[in-house]
Amino acid sequence: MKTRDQKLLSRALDSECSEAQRRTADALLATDPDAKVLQETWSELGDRMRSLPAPVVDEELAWMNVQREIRSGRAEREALAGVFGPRLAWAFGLGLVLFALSILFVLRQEWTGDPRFARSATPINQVEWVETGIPGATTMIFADASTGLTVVWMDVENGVRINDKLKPAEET
Amino acid sequence: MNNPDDPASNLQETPDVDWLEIDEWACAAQRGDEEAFGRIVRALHQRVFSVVYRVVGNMDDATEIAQLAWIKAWQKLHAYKREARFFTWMYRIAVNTAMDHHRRTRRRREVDLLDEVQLDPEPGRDSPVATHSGPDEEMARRETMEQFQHALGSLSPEHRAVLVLREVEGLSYKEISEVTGTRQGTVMSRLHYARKTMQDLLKGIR
Repeated sequence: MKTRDQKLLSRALDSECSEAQRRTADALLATDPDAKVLQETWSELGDRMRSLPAPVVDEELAWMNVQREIRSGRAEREALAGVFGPRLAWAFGLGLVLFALSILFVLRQEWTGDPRFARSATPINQVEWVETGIPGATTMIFADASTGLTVVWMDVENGVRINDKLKPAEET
Repeated sequence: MNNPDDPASNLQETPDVDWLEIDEWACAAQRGDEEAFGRIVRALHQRVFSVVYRVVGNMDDATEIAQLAWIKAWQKLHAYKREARFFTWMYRIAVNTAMDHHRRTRRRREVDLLDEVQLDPEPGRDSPVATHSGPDEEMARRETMEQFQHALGSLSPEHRAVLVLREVEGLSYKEISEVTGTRQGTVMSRLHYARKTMQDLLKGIR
């Protein structure tokens, strides 16, 4: 028998088919002995399932267990809310206020133009290493743009004398 | 066969469960009425447990999962929309919890219901076990039932869940699709596959 026909018989057994399908199923049952056997077998299967014993449970005991769980769950939630709830709310609120204040403080510096909060100017003093052209010399030059003072360190210990001709930095 | 116009007809045949009342209690529970929720648990726990038990095939797991499902239901009550029946919503939580459990454990559990079953001692309730059979008949009956249980246990939990929801709980395809979160076409295919597999596994067993 085709699977399609078997499915139709299954639906017909459950009264879950349309009138047209019902007629088709009835015709099948009237003409095909296998179809009749199949539906009887499935019908008997249902009878057997319904006759299977299931343990009898104590509904009252079940409700007591469920109720205990419900109440303990509720008690835990209430305890959490009662003990930690307000404190956590306070801490959270306080944190939020502090965060907002710090943001406002930073923005105020930007917006007000208060000289106390003015950004420092780009450093004008520079320290740089240059190639002096004196063999073995290691030289460091410090130039202060505000005063025009330039300080040159020369490594005398490595044989550089103060009278040695210094190659100007611009030429390097 | 069930009345197709009334998808929950099989469920509503149960005399001790008033489904409209369950829905009303669910609304009260949504407003925080714990006692109303308790009434729902008392009314539906056996059904929820039975579904879970048949899906996971283990008494201890089913007990834990069914109770966990109720706790989840209480926690998610705000998400329950009243256009759906409460039991489909609840079954969905229970079946999903059972599936999650199966995915976590990842091992095929041998269905061994017969050793665990504690038959209903109350005389008024239906018992599937014949009480007036001889020892040979009783042994044969137990053997057949064991084979059936093993066949059922060899199905995947998804197929088992669909079969249980249809055959035992009598849910419609639409309700099963709501419970399992799948399309009705998938429900139909799974049911057909489950039936065919069970039929093949039980060939020759009467």
